[in-house]
Amino acid sequence: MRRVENKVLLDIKNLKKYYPVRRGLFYKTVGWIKAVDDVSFFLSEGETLGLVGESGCGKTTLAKTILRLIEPDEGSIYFAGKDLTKLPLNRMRALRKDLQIIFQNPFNSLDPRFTVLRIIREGLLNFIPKKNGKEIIALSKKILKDVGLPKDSIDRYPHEFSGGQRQRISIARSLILNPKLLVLDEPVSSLDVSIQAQVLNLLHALQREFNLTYLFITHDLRVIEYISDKIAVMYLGKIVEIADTSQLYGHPVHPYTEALLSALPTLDPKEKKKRIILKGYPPSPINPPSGCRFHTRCIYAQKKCEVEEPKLILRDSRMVACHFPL
Amino acid sequence: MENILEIKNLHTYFYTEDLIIKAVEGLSLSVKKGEVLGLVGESACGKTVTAHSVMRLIQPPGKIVKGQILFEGEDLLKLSQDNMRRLRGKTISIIFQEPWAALNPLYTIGFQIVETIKIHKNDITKRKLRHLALELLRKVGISQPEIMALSCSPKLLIADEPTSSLDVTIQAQIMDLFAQLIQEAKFTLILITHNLALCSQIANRVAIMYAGKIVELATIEEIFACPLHPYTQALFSSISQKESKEKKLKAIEGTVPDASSKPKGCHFHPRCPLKKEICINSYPEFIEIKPQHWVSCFMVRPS
Repeated sequence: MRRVENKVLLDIKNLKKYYPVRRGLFYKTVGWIKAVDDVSFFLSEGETLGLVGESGCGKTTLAKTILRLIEPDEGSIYFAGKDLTKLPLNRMRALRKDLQIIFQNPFNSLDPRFTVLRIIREGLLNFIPKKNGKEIIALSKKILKDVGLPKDSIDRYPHEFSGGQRQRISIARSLILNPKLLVLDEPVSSLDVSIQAQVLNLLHALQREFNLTYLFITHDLRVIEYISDKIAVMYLGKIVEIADTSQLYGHPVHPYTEALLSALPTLDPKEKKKRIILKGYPPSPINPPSGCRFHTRCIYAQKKCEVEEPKLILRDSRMVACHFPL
Repeated sequence: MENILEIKNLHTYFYTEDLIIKAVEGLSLSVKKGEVLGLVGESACGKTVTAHSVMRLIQPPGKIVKGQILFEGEDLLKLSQDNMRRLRGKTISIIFQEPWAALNPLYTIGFQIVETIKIHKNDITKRKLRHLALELLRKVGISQPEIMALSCSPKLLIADEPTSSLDVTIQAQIMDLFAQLIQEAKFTLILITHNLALCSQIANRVAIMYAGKIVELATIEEIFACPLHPYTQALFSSISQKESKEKKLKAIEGTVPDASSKPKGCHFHPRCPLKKEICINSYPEFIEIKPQHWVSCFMVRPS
């Protein structure tokens, strides 16, 4: 097991991001999309938190809000003790060096007209302007080696690389700034399985080497099981369960987590596991169901679930938001 | 069991200005009547091109250069355009990969479902059409493009990554639906996917594709219990599994070769841990190692 220090690096408290829905002639606000609705969790140094949920549940909005690429409406984001939401923009900008993000699609997150050197040194020029050209090149070459790319890639363009290699370039671009927290937004979802494994191994190795903290966002339950120390499950803007990875996979407590895990196809054709097929689609986040947001699709739902919204509370060393946990 | 579809030595190439992309190169595959065959491979291995070749949907600069595609004994490649059109959508049907792109946003769902029926049955009344569309919709429960492909009760259905752009819970719904429809309608299904685990749920046999060719073919139980080709083995081990939790994932080194410049010999040799001299120079024949289990690898030979 990786040594996990207990020092909290990121502490999110009651974070909210609502988008107005405007209609009609006067562009009147008729409703709110509650993309991130009262989310709280913390992340210790050197740890990986997997954030899992279906498309449209607010994973990416949450990630961007944490980095203040989207301004939060309410709540606080403590990073190394400082509340990011209260920082003036110039000080936030200086801090961005420590908070880096890697995007899903390496085909449009790299500028096609920039050489690899120009791509990865851009952060350096922004944050550490005193370095001279030779130092920058030496550092870039070292980082490229760290992420497993050949030295001569420095003068080449993104189109000369495959998807997996491009994702390595994105990783190099973030790592060169020596960040503390890396937000990975579906970093391997667009890659083939054999390449996924390469990139996941790399991320694992880099985490140990540089003592990185990861917030790993994905919809892929297999990937997240491999990489995460603990997992947060999100549904319609809310976190419904947070638990250690082995705990969560061994015994999910929230009915939605149970359904997600049971929907996962097994690799053994002989194993006929009990599958819970959820009826219907996730409801619209514009007017989410009353009470527990999951009650419309939950097979265990009772009267209370329609009326009263369950709070995320501690239950047997894990957090769960359900009136009738399994 | 008799074969409904036999693909023999299929070559489908794409001609660009300066290169020839050999997307499918010498592919042979038999599909038994009534079975679910999983066709598995990574992106750009030629899965979709194979499917489109069977449907004869290959457009220039692509061309089917060589081979035979026998459907119930008749070579589809020899059919006239008109005769092919009569078959397409009626007897052989396809579900395309992207449900967002496969449906025309300008037409109602009802129109798009009955479009195929109208083409194939001239004497049907409007009221009957509407009734049929409603019934089909009820059957699938939702407005997925699956129904368009099923509207004429085809004998062979090709589903090209039908669930890969969907969430897991929706994916489970669709797979369940497929299993149910196969029971009711008794058609043959070719399920194209990159997800081995998905096959384990409904497929009877699995064909593994690499760089334009089938490299392994076996029953579902066999391939999961004892994968023989080094590529298949690598595919299994690169999917994270519970027991590999603290270990490194076994990644396959290198990348899928470019279809315009495939390595000589066995196309997998640059990434293969077992390669020998012979693998670099010649391509291994596809042989039946044990009953029902075919492999194309020099290192796997019957004992």
